Amino acid sequence: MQETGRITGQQMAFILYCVVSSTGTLILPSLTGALAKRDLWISPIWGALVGLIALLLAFGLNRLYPGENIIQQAPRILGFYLGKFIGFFYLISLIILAGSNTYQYTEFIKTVFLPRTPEMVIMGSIIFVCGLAARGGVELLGRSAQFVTPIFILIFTILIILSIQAWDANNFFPVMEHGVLPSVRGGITQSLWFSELFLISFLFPFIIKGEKKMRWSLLSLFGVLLTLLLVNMSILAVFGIESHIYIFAFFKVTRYISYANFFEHLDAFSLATWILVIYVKIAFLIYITSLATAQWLHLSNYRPIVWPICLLAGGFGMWTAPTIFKLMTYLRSTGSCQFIVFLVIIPALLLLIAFFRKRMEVRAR
Amino acid sequence: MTLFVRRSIIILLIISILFLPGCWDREELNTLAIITAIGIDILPNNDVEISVQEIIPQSNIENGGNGTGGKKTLVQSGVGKTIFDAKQDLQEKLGRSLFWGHAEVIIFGKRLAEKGIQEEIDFLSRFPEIRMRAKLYVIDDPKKVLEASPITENYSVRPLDASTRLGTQAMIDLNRTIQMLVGKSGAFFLPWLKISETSQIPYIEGGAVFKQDRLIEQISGREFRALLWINDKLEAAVLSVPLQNKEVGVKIYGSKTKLKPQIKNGKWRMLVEIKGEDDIYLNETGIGKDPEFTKVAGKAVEKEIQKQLIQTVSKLQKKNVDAFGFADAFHQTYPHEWHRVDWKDIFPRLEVVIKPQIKLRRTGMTDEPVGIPTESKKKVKGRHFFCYDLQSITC
Repeated sequence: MQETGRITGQQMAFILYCVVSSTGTLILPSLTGALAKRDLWISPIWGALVGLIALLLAFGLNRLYPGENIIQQAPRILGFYLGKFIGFFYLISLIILAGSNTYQYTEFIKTVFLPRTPEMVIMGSIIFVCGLAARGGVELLGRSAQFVTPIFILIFTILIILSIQAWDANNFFPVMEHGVLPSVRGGITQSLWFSELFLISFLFPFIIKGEKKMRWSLLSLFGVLLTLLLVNMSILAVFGIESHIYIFAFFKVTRYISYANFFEHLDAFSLATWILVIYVKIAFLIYITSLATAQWLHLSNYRPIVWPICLLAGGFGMWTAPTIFKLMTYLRSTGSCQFIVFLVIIPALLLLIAFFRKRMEVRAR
Repeated sequence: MTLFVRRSIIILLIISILFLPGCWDREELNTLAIITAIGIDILPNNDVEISVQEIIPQSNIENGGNGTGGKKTLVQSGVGKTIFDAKQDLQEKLGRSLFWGHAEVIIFGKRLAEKGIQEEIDFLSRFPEIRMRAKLYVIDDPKKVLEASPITENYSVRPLDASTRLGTQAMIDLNRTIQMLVGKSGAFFLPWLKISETSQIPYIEGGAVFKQDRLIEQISGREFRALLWINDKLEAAVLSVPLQNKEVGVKIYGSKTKLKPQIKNGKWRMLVEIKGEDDIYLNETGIGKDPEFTKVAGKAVEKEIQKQLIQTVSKLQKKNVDAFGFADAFHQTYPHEWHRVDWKDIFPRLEVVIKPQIKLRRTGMTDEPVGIPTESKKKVKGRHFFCYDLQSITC
């Protein structure tokens, strides 16, 4: 057994919430805004639809092959060689995902707070902490998320409420001026983050038996949708149609808050809470990448490969995008396709094949 | 390793967090130059000059009061081909690193404004330390404002904040400017400053109207107020309203402006609805307790508002600069019609209707004119000249 820890349904929901909302409120609104313009706030709804599909796919696969994740399921569904090949593709994508998120975090900190600190130090410190967390296992992640998420939700609620006095409702109109297409285009970018909900597949084996998984995961999806909706709305309402020119738009909103000339300069709060949830996300990604690699190679323990994976995650972070400019173009173009293929389309195909295989097996009997 | 050693190492690490935050970006207060205001202008040879008002630390004033002449701020400048170069030049001249987080005021010079401020706005929105809440102003020579040292204030730009708190002026911050700049009308406005001769305090004298990013018109204080009013930026206003060849002084507060664009039979029309309340603070007319008076005075106030606002609108219509946000209002209400026309052709001939609805609430501490003998106090009814006046106002 590679992992002995167990988490509750609630902890799972919190982990999923952190995974999507942490970087989903960082750079994503700017990416979405560039495509959706004034319909920026509608896009999360389309994204959530994709997120729902991703969740259902994970549930479907889990019903057919309970207690296993996608890396273990793939060889069973497609046969050893093809399954391992797909598995390898997943390993690569997971590392890229971990890397790009680490890079987003690094760019954010470097641009906004520590411009003179070398990237290696910022990146290295978060990866080191996340590596330690990943070695601690799934239970540590669950408890971290349980601890961190309420703080994040509380601070963000306060920040959004305080920002309301700077909202200009006129910025929302006209709604859907150019039809539904711009918001759907933004929705595709949003779905890049929402589809990460499929990673619940890696958590299924560790959830305590008898927990209401479906309820918790839907609750998590709803929470994420609400968060991104509010964040995007506040960005649009405060900065208007050209809000996407600000890379870290919601951070700009928190900086813009000035309530009764007293609540000002609140950016430090948002930064601190952001670091907490981003830590959960990166730790989770490094954890599942290590676990998946260990399972792919049939190792008895995933812990020894956590540090090499951390190193790779840092390297891939730098390699996928040497500049924030390139990262944004990547996420807007290749990135969206890649992650939707790997988190939605391939699982859908796998589920389809698995479904027919099971039926054929039943018929053969 | 014993447990004790391990524990003490961990405790040491935790304590060190307190002293080692910030990595390479650690800053101590005594290595910072805290900036309160920024002035940006262009020199005759087309170089950009950036000046900053830096706070002199209190202890330095006490120690070397003679050297600084009792001043609490110091103005320093940097020059360069672009604003970014200028900033770097300034930084290198300073012994301390510039701290922009408290720069609440950014002042553009007139010459720069005439040449266009897009480059500067771009820099300001990119630069992470500048706050989007920083307020923008225009003046002939920004250095003068920074160098002014009012005796009553710690630094010269502080009173600007107070004048906007009264509600009779409004500040335009960086965010608002960018939004207006990218808006459909392609025009925006900023307050124009002047320095009081006696107190050295800068105040808002009028306005600067920009088309795209270039200053094209300097407007008076009254016109600037009209501009703010239509843009729903004004909370309070003090007006002197002529009534029966005498003056009535009123203070309007809680003012709300709504733009209601209308397109009927292909004719574009803008209805500007202003709602608010007013108090009478001065009454020269000699009319006291009379229910009719409130009506008459109310009408007169509304008429005066109409007059002032229409004047400004038609002035800018002639120049074809829509600083009122009419374009965005039309775009929001009529997105389909909007795409079929060119706003440049519509705006100069746009019919603008101002519809103020001001309710008289209070008459100050007295309800009758003070200082006029009771016998000679007038009533509205029974006086022919007043009835005549009433008609002239209503029609």
